[in-house]
Amino acid sequence: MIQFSQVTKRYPGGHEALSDANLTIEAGELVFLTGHSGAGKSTLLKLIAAIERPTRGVVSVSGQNISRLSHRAVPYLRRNIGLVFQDHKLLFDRNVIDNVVLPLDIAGFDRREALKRARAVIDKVGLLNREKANPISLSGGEQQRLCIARALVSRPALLLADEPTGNLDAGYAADIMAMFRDFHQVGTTLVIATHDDRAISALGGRRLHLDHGKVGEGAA
Amino acid sequence: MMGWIRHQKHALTAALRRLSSQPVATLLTALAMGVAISLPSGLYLMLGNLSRLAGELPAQPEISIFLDTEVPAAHRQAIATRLKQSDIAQARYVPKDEALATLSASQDLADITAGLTLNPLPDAWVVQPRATSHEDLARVANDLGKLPGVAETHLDSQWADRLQAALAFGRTGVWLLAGLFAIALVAISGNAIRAQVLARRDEIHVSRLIGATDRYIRRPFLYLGALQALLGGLAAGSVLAVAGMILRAPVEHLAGLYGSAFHLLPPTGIEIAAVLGLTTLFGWLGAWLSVARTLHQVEAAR
Repeated sequence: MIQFSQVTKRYPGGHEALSDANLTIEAGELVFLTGHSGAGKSTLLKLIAAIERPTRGVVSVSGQNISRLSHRAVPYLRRNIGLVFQDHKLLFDRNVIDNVVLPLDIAGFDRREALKRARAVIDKVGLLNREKANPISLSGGEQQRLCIARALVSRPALLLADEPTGNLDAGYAADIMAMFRDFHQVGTTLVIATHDDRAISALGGRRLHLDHGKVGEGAA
Repeated sequence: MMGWIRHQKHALTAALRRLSSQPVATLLTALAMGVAISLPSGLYLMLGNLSRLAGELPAQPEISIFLDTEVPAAHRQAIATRLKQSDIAQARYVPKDEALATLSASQDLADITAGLTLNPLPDAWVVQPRATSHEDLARVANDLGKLPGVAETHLDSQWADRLQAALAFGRTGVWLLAGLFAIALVAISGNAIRAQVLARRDEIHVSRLIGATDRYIRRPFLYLGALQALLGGLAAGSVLAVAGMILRAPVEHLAGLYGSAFHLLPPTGIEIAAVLGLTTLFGWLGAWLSVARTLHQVEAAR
């Protein structure tokens, strides 16, 4: 599903976030990216979602070469990828359900169908009784679940999560990770960048360790 | 296709919601646009009314045709036939006796005409051609002058020429002013939209991350610009309606003093539609220019 071959990403200013990285992630895999801050985890996820382009090498996602992807094709690639952010990136000018409906609006879904789907996924993350609430009134854990609901509502084959439990206490973090395990079990490919060793050992799955831009297989 | 219509509907409702969520800002922008639009539109209306007034005056140019002293009946017939052609609006025959009688009727000249033993005046035609431009009139006069039996033609169009030139000057002024205010409209719209884009930076950023196309992001802003300008056009209409109401009584009083039943006419439905349509178009254009630029800046800043 995802393939990196000899990928280097150098940011303007000279910082090399990834050096000569090679990796393959098969469809349906659950992969954890570990490593210290600045090791290149976020950069790797951004390259998969075409938020950044590689300086050298080839990144391919679902058979598409990201380096050669035209500006106009990027939105259609992203519609097949669910993104979960550490800072949630929720919109506070609208309520919970309107946040979740946004990806379906963008994809041109019928409004009624979109609301139905959104409600189903909000139910799945346990926020059904808060659907009219403004996200600002939700707790950190609830906001993260809302962000996950938004990432999943268009039923992507691939979910990328950047430090999804970074700001959460242990109880909420376990909650979120349990949710990820469920999605993995229904066949979604997950790539999760995290520091949370407990979660990794609880969920199992493959572990890719990044160290100063170099990728290595870690112990599962 | 369904998806396209859905996107348009979605963008339109989003634009309407944004307009109604900031009523004061919306109203102020509409007023600024309204004032800008009402100036050329008002001048246009004033000019239209003035030309109508000018049309009521005897401003129609006339050609006088003076005949030779002895003209065979066949030539007279030929001239009369020529004057029935389509380029002539109206022709009146003035026999020399009638001309002398008219001349004698005016007091200053009565003494002179009384001393005449022979009528020195020629028979004449007074002709109103259909043409209005100076060149066409001169051509018709020249044409008529070549008919056999015609001694001389005289074209009296100076007064009409001057009036037409003044109106043409006014019309050019209207277009010039309209052009300037169209630029102002584009600028006002662009500025309002720029503020909107900057205020919605987060939404734009998030929408991009979850697969929004450029068009999806641009669309609500374009609708916003068009709707805002349409409101501006309606504001201009209100401004002009109020001005018309205030001016009506004094204009009718003035016209009454001249013994005229002249009154101000409002614009036609087509004119109103044209102004609203153009206004909307320029609002959209301003939004388009501004969104393209501002989005570029917003994204470069990330």
